[in-house]
Amino acid sequence: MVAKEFFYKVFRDVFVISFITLIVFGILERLEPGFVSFYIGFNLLLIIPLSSGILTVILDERKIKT
Amino acid sequence: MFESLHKFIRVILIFAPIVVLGWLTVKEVVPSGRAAATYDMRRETPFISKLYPKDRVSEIREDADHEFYRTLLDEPVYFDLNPSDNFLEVAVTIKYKNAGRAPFKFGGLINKDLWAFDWRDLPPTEGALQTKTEIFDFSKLVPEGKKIRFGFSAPGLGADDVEIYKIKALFVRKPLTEKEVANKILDAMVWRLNKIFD
Repeated sequence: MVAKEFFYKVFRDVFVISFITLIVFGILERLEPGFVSFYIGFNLLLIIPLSSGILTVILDERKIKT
Repeated sequence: MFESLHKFIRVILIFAPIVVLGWLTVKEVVPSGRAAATYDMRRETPFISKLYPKDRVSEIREDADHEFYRTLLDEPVYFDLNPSDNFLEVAVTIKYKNAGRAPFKFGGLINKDLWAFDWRDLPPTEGALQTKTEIFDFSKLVPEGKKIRFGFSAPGLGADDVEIYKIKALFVRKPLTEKEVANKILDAMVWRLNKIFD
């Protein structure tokens, strides 16, 4: 595995796990307002999947053939 | 090498949200029976409101030691405590300066109809910073929804005499046993599942 592939896989994992975390924490917050947001800002929970998703796309070496 | 490192990072990534969820659960359940919150006039906390009404307090000011404070411009001024659970008592610590000659008071609302507060004195400090802690019994305070109103009263003091630097609340109840913690977590899970599927 080369370095670029390694970083691609790491950012892909970060994206998947942080996205699931965002959904789960969002549901928990909706059920009981303050359960998450009293301690963790939702902008942080949004930035992690967003930035890791963008990096995953940038580092993806597969080319789309038309 | 990269493959084993990737596996290691994946394990960490999977455990990180589980650890955070555990930490949030501990904050919610409060097994120790003690939960503290501090409002330093700059950063808000969900458990202590800002001072209000807005027109009776100054904007945030910073002193020579880079500590933040608000000046009481008029009285009474209020703040709310918003405990996360059912606690027995709260120790409220006020860090303040009182440049006047008379004490000013703070306390929790005990009778809404008579608008009576359980006042405690905050003596003059001759311009020096002072900290005072008073304990209030939740059974004597009157909640407004989930919030408990506290007030500052400074009759006879000048507009710039009283500066409030910090409000700290330590909510206290008896610690939970392991069984009580497990029951509380189970109850919370069942309550959430019922709410989802109702």
